[in-house]
Amino acid sequence: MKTMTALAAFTLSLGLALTAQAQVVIISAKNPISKLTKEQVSQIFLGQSKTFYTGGMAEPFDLAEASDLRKGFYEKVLNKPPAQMKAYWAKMEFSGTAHPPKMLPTSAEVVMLVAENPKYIGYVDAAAVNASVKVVFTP
Amino acid sequence: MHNPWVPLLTLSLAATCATAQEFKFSGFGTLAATQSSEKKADFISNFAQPNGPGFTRSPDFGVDSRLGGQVDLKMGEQFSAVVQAVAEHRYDNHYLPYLNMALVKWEFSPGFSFRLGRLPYSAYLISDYQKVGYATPWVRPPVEVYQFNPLTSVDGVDFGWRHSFGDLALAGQFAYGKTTVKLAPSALAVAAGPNPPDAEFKGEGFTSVSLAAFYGHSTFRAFHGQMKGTYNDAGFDGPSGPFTFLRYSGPVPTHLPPPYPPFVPNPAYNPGLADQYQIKKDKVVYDSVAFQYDPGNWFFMIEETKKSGDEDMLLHFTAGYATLGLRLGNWTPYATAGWKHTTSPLTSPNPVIQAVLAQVDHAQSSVSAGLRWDFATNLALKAQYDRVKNATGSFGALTNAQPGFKTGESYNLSTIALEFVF
Repeated sequence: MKTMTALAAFTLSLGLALTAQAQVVIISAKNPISKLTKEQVSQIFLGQSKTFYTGGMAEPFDLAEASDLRKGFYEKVLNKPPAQMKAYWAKMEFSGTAHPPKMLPTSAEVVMLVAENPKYIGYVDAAAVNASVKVVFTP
Repeated sequence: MHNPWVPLLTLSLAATCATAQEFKFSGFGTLAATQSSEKKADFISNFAQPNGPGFTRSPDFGVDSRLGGQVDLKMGEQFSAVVQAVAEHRYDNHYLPYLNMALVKWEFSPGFSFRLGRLPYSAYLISDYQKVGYATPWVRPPVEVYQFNPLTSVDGVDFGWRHSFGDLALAGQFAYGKTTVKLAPSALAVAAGPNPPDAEFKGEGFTSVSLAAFYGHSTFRAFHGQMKGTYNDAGFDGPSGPFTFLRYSGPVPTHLPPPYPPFVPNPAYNPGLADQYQIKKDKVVYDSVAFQYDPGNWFFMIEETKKSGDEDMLLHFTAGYATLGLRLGNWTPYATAGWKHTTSPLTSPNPVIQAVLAQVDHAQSSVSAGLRWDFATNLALKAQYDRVKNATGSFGALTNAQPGFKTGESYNLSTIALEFVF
């Protein structure tokens, strides 16, 4: 019985570890920046700033709308659930001000594109990070 | 089609289309039913509407409903174009879509942009997306600030600038252009004869500057804009209108028995006063300051605005509102208080001007409570109740007053709205 309980607990914790992915914000290893604040990250992802604090161009990527990583990222950084983010982008788009970030389907694709160009910035599953990119903020 | 911007814009859009890399169609809309307890006049949410809930309809589906569609084109890193059409209840009771935005944008350097075409008129905090109910907390933007000014676009150019200074982000804008908006004929025009032509407001030499600051969950915005305004209306300007009468020096009948003379020179004759009160190329100035705090679980916004201008301009006012909302999962209850005070004189020793002034006051105050429910992706349902008090002698946000209507009274509005984006 003890073994069963321990096994169940193990399976449960494994399950939790798998679902609760940790997001990290990454930029290209070619970008000179080493750290960003929560404010700077949110300004870029909200389209309020089109550049990094260094003056270099900044272009963010989003993950798919249904993604838990995306939901978690905006909840942690901006305290905004998906409906509020939707309302925010409705305001920005229909006023002709800014457009939501381009969407990519997986963390792996975000890592691949961000690695290529110092202007890109994305949030990905920590497990997808490799040497071609660097983590500049952990929500 | 006599707009000089149209051919230029069409050309630019065609050029953009030809090499467009990204094309996006999206839209927004509101389907709302509104009921008013004031049955001797109509409530309108926009000064350009001819009628609404109250006397004409109950409930009314036109006062807060609309549909908008937008096409976005992106061409490379620097060029993009936006065309937005909106269908809603308009000055002559039609619902045909009109171009609310049609612009090309050139981001010539990171954080700098130049736009040309039909641009959003952004006098107030939410002006440039006031038609998008899904993006705003209420069933309609507070009428004290947003109803009287029917302008929603400016044909011209603007220059935008954005920059971050650490945790502080700033955005500035300078705009120049002109604007024309069709309005329903005034009560005077309706009284003067059948089928009066539409009225219009023209703003020429429109110039504005705005500055917004974003810091954490706070947004601060200030705006200053001015133009030469002209109001054309068959009632006010026509042969039987007040200004024609003020400029008439000839004899008027006394309708008195002898020994009184049957005719006397017009006792109200005062062409100077007509020039002063008739709105023809008079300077109109709009100022506003707004603050918004939105940490996520709740939000607060407050805006104070002022309309002023040449001393000969009718109706100067100050107006504002404050809204507080809570976010409880998919439910957002909110409450708003609005105020509007007329700051120009509403009395005149001249009986003709006095008669005009008695018809035009819009001062009011209101309190509203509402609830938003984000029940599905891209869909929200809102219910709102407003308690409105017209100031003494004021018509407030009401039009189309019927015999027996009393100024300065209170009334209620109840609204249910389905908001969507796609």
